[in-house]
Amino acid sequence: MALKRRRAKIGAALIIVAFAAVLFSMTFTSEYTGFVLGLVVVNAVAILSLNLLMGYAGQVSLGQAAFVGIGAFTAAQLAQSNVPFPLPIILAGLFAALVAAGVGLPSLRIRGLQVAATTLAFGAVAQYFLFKRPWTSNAGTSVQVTRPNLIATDKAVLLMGLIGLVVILIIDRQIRHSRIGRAFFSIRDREDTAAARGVKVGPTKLQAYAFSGFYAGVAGGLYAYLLQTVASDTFDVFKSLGYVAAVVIGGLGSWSGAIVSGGLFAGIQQLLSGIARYVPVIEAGLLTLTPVLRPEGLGYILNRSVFVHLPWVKPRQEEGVGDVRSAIELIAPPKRPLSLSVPTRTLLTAKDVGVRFGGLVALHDINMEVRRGEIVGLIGPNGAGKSTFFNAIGGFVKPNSGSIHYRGKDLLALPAHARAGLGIARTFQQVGLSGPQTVWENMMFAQHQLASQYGLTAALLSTPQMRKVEKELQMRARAALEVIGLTDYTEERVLNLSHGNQRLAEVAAAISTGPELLMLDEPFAGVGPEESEQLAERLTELRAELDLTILVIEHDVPLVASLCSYIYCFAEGGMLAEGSPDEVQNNADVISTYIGEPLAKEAAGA
Amino acid sequence: MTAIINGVLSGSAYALIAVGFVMVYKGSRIFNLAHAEIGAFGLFIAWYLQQHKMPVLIAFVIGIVVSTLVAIIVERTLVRRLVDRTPLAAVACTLGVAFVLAYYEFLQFGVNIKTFPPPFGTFSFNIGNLTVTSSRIMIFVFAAATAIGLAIFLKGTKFGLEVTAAVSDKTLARLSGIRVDRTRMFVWALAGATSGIAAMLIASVNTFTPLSTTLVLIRGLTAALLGGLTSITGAFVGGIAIGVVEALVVAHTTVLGADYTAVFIVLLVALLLRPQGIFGGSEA
Repeated sequence: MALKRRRAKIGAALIIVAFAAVLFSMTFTSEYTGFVLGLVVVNAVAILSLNLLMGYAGQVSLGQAAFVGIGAFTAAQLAQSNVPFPLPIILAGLFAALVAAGVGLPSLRIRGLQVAATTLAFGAVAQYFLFKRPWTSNAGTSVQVTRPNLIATDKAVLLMGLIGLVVILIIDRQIRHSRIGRAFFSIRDREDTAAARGVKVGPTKLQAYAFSGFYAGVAGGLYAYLLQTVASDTFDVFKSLGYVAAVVIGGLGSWSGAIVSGGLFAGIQQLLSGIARYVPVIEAGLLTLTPVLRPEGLGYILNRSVFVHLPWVKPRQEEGVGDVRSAIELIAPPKRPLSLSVPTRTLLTAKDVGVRFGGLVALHDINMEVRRGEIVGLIGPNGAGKSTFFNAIGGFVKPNSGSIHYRGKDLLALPAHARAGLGIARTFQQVGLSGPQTVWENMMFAQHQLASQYGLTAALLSTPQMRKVEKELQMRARAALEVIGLTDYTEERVLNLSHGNQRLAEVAAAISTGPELLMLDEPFAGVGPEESEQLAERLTELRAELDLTILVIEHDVPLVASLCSYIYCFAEGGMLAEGSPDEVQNNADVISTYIGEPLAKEAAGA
Repeated sequence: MTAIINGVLSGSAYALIAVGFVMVYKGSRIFNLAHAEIGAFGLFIAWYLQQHKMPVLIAFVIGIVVSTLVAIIVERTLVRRLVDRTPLAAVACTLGVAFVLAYYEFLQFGVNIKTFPPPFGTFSFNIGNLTVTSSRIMIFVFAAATAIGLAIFLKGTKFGLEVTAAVSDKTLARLSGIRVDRTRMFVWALAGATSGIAAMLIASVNTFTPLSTTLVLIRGLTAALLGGLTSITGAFVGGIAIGVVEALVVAHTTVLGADYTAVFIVLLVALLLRPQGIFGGSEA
């Protein structure tokens, strides 16, 4: 929490300082300097557009200049048709957003960075085709823009540009600190977790492209008014490269780093004409070296070496929830009273579930029933289909046969993100948290489904409703950390935690949503024996405290036996045995295929 | 008809670029955006030597050597440090390499339009009423031979299988005695050489500038994606397809940039309809 607050303050401080500095300098600088600074500002907006796309959402664009160009030509053409200022800039943003979303369409179908190819190709289309048309650049020449009286001078345009930059920065901040941005980060880091938490992965990608296009379009609009002429060959592949370089050198996802690195290069190129020729080479060189030597980039270095030492940047202490008891009350949903009553109601039913991957039968004829309040174990050798079964419940694998019902609702009819809203929370075999993000950020994202109480507009405007929901998420996150006992690690990045603590953090994230059914995929894997026992104890307590039902995959048979009231054993995709821990442990098939003789004896003896 | 034959011939150069790209992707799981530029760098050196009275065939060979060396240097100094990083890091890094090379060419050799003579002399023959020049045929022959050679190499030789193994499971491959680092370097070297060959062959039928060589990457990438990114056969077919589409477009319209637009549309539609590519899934 502390660090986050600190960053937010840095942001506000930076903006104010920069604004003041420019206003001050404007009183005595020449028109030319105003023009150069204007270019730097416009460049910064364009760079922010790529920072959002690449840094936040993890999507690549190698043709970002095309969107800036589309914005510039849109604004120029609108201005020529006497659309009153500043409408052309806003419309340019919206139109570029639309185009960017279109170019991002393949990201719905292909994973990874192959979309880079479409954006690169689109960059070439824009450069050689779109920007040579009569309706853009008057057939390969240029469009003139007449400035309105309000912004007749370069300095006035600079001021306008600064206002534009600040508006974009505020939008950017709202995105980062709301469910919108958290959804972006999640698709960047872990698409499967994202979907499990209720993020619609495809639409979220398009949203990122659209926002990025909007920023870029606004940058283009500002550019049109600053230069008063938009030429056909301005927005080329090399310009796109410059944006990528600025974002990467600045540190992916660090808006301040991106602006500083972009501004630096733009400034050097304009002001030191002697070495201007070599600036792109240096930039490309740094782009090459940054991912290898300093992947965190300039933003991180700035944060570490400058910002934290600024006198007005002080970490803020957050008040805790108090004691564990009140924390539990906070996250236990009120509609389900705390009780340890005899479990009677069936929560989850699976009937004859079968899953095939091509010719491989991963699961067949699986029947299962999980009743409310139970802790049910799922054991079996590697490749038995346990995780596949979890994935079938979660919606990541589509069964070829059978049915799965949750509270009588047909789960298979719902897409993965919709299932997250039913009160099912899960953890993953490979810890499903975002490593580069802090425990806190992960906790906030885990409650994505709850955050959907406010929409995009509310997020951008920071409405009271949005702030109320965010406040509640923070309370719940804090409460869940308190319940699990991880409050000391709130600001630690997940990848820096011990494996045991990563597992705990994942459980904390899962229970912060106030789930009814908690599905744990090998929560004890890689956790030491002592920590395992503690975790098992904690789970038993949690079941009572939070009225949870737990379905757990685990290899450690004695541990499962002590934890669970009922056990299913899978083997080779089928159900080998089921029953009470004693029944399953003494089942001859289970012993011969899974436990093995000596271990079974040991377990019986223990 | 003329357009189609021309398209197949020039498409085979894109195919060659795409094949190298796929090989690097298979060999190191890195999306090498510098692939085309590494070859282009060899071309510029060869061009420079040829301008200074060196016989074109020797310049051609030196060009290949230069491309190979650049690829090895990039692999040794950068790529090996990127293997365990995020895919985005590799994209950024190789993009940087591409543009360092491109800007260097700019500064060193200028932006004016250049030509490179066909390395195997000039002759031509007729198919019907279509005249085919030696360089166009050589592109096709070289591209086809390289692709077939690589396919055989990867499938049929021990070393080729090691390459495949090293990609699919690094640790297991290492435990089986495969020197993963060495295989990766070899793959990069091979890809660098093919890229150099492709660049010089393309230059021998078209004029070129530092920018045009950079943009060859777009066709190569598109071809590789059409082919499913992991299939050498697919990349080859993809390259030919791109060449034919481009040739048909150029034959039917004089609108500037129509060729890029066509390539983009083909890519967009292909990815939306068949994201796994024409040959996607198969690891041939």
